[in-house]
Amino acid sequence: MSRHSLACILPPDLLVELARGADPQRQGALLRTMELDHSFRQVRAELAGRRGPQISRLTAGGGVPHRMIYDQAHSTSSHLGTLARAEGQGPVADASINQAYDNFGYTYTLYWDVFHRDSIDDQGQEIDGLVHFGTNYDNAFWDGAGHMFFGDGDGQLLTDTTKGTDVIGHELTHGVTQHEANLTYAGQSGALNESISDVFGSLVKQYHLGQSADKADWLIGADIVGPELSPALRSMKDPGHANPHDNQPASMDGYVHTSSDNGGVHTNSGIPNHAFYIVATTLGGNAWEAPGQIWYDTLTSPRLQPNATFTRFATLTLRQARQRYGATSREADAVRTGWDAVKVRV
Amino acid sequence: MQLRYRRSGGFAGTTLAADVDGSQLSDADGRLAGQLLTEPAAFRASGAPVPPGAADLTEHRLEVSEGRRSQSFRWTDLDVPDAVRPLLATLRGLAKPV
Repeated sequence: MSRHSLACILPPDLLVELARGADPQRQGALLRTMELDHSFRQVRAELAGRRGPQISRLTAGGGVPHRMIYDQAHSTSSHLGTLARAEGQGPVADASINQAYDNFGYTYTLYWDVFHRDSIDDQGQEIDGLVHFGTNYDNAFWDGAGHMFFGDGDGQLLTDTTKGTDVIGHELTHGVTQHEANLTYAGQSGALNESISDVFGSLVKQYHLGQSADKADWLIGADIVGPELSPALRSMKDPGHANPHDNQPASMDGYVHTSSDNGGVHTNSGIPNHAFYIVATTLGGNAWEAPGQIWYDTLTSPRLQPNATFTRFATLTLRQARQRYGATSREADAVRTGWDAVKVRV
Repeated sequence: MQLRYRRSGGFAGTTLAADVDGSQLSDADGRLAGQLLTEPAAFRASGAPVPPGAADLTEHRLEVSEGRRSQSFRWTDLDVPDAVRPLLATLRGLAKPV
């Protein structure tokens, strides 16, 4: 034991000096220590060599995404297709590949610039986008295993889903949510999961365009809808009126009880969506600042449990607003105003 | 034979519905619909289970009935059997938002 301790503490030169003046028995122990010490140092040097590139990547990599865009070539396989564009490579001939690459970049930038978050897991996770999934596939989804799939659309309901900055921000945010609160994808916690993706998807777009809360359109999916769902999929400003088939409620008065879509996760998300819109427009300025920060603080709070209800989430947003901006701050007042407007008790 | 198709979820969150008489289907789709009714176990699921944490997957529900016989199926985008995809594509083409 003591030999190992010596090996960890004493420099080789000092061990040699000690061995010179020691009795034969002590000299033997010190020489064995030196051998061990040499082995340890060699191992350490090897490990340092292996870690070197990772350390430099982490040091230089914070603030730089690691995007990998794959061409699924209309396959419905969930395995990675052909790598079409990797981080740092220039544009390719395929517009969908480039759109996915760029929109992931805008998403990463919002999370890094504003919330100092390094990718999906805050540890620089690779961002994998799988483009041209299926044939005329009118959807985009997060698979729960680190991959985001994008269809080309059927041209009627949806068009190329990679075109939507908010769509890509929405899907990547599902990954962030999974790594943080891991909100259960059903009922109210599922609707919160969906709403958080809409909120940050919208913030990605607003930040990229430099739009303040009063200039933003607060529409979701406006860039990817086909004629059947035009002009947008959802409206955070006016839930239920984004398109002729939009049935989102704007308050708890219209909460929809259904077994469809995991308990209406894309329907009842209109309620917390509208609360965020009210908070943002009540405060004015840029929505990614105080409103976004409060929502992000809530999402990353250990107090937010996977089975959170609207009331629990709302209460936590108020708590975070008070904690960061003060109990009597206008930010805290705005949060209360937002939840009051949608009739969620805090 | 009657087919009742409901598609929900997905990023759009729009529910689509189609109620189709078997006579409207092509021969190939009609044969498959018949197999769904007589050999349902072969089409219940395929592939790996959907990982927890997945979001925005489309859910497909299909009920096939003829006389007293009826079979119901429920798949997501990730576990639809490949053999069923052409029929779902046909039904998707006939479905309208509700």
